[in-house]
Amino acid sequence: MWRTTSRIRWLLQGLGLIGIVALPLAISGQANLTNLAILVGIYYAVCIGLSLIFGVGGQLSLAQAAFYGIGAYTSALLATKFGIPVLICFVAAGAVSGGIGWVLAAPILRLRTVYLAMATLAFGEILVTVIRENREITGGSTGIINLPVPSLGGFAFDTPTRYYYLVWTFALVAAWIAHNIIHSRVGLGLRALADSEIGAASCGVDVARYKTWMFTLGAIFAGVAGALYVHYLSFISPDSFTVDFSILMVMILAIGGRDSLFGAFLGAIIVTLLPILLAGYDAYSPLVFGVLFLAAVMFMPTGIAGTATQILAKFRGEKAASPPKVPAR
Amino acid sequence: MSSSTVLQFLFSGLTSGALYAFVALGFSVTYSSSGVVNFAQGQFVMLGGIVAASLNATFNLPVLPAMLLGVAAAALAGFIVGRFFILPMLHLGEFTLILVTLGISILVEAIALIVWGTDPWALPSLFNVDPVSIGGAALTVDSVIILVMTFVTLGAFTSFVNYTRWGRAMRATSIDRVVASSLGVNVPLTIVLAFVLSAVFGGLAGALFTPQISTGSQIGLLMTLKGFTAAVLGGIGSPIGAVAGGFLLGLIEAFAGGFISSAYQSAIALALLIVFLMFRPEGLFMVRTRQA
Repeated sequence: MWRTTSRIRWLLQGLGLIGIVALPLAISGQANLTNLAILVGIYYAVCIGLSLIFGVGGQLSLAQAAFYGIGAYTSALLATKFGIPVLICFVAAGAVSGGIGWVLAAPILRLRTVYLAMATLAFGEILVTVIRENREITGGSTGIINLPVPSLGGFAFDTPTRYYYLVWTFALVAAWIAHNIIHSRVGLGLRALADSEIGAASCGVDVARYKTWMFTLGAIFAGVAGALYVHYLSFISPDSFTVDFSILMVMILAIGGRDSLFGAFLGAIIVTLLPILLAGYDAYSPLVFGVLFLAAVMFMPTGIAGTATQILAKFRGEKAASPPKVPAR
Repeated sequence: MSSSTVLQFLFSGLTSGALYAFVALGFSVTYSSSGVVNFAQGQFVMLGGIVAASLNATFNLPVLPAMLLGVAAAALAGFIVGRFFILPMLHLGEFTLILVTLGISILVEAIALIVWGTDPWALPSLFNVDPVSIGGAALTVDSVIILVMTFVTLGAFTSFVNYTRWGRAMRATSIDRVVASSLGVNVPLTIVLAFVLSAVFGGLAGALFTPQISTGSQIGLLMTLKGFTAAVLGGIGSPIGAVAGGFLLGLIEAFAGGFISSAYQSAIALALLIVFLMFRPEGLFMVRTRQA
């Protein structure tokens, strides 16, 4: 039975990969759709990082927008003020936001539950204020325009399709890293500490270190994703990095399924497509998001992905390969 | 810096401190009865203010009844939240409850956006009287009313908790839900009551404060954050601590805004929250903290 489940999973992953590679060919010429597909990739990358600390580790961090912004501003400033090649700026974006994440992790991750949520929320608000007020560096509320496109040895990622492949390469590498972590000792340790930190610690899980690593990794992914985002728009302003973005990321994971990478993928697609489906009723889109989020939290704690897995397993009369249970925390 | 300027900072600090005190008081009521830190606390402030302001602007309702209806609307929202969202989810543990209250906050804001849009809403003053000048600093009648109301509310609430049957039920629930229940306390009702009370505090803050600075559909989350900061400063779970923390936060913001930078006054307050959470999570006044 394990074999069938595993084979189906491989099949699905293969099909998904082919779909991601082939998508631009199917929608080539339709810049709108390619834009959306790029956005899905960026959201997916951020959510992969968040799913480690929030989805698997059970720590509600609302700092994702801050790291997304730190990465974006690092890259934008290095590229415009110092003329550094954009791909190197992307690496720097990950390094700087990861570094700040690492420094911040030690004190902030001692906080739990709502205290962590409030502290990370406060950190995000402070950062936005700092960006808005340092006009001579960041351009204040108006931001910076004309950010250069990345290029590699004369090949410029200057069309939506090319940029799509750049973004998705990063997203899939991030997913691969996260996949390996989730299925390693560290992943098991994270799941354990989500249930009970004291219990996990007494079983030999280095709670503080695991949390710090995952928080830092999440910061790196968010930082690079932020840089990818602003260089695609070729414009940066603090409005993209407010708490709304952090909440959106938490929504993606709650709706899609917070403890699997497929959940993050599904959630990113749903959240990106919903406003399109609701076109003409724009005023109602926050309401639909809110209802979906609350419904997911209250009735589907494992999100759409987890619930689908459970239903499928029940249908096939077998236990799910890895029980996607989310215990009371 | 003249003495009148300092006095002016003092007045404005006390006034916004009273606002934070109300929000913090709301946090403390629900936290001590159900253990839930309600992310939607700030949305009650938004509702109280915006309902009052829109009733006054659209239907020409006089200010006082408009304010009362604003508080009533917040109370109704508090009842719905407590009865239909918190009670059924209470057994699911802290992590889920935080997400539920965050979801409620998002939902309330989304509804408010549809009903009231993004424009600011203003409300005239309760009494049309010129500000009093004290030592060269202006003190508005609204400020005085808010300050008086804060202490009246604190007094009423403290005596409610200490000297009435319902208050005792609430304290019993906060110490141990199971034992309270076995001693005949209607625990679910007590928790719903706590949410209604917290919403009334929030609504009062919103209604009383809208004549000072106008309100809008999107102020809720920041109010939650500020009120929570005040609650943490004073020690979450203690009504007196909440009010003290509120005033302290208001004063710190006003003086930081005046002496350091007005653009950073919110950021300074939030930095204070992080510092306190890390180094003194039990608050300044060392009240007994509730075991999770």
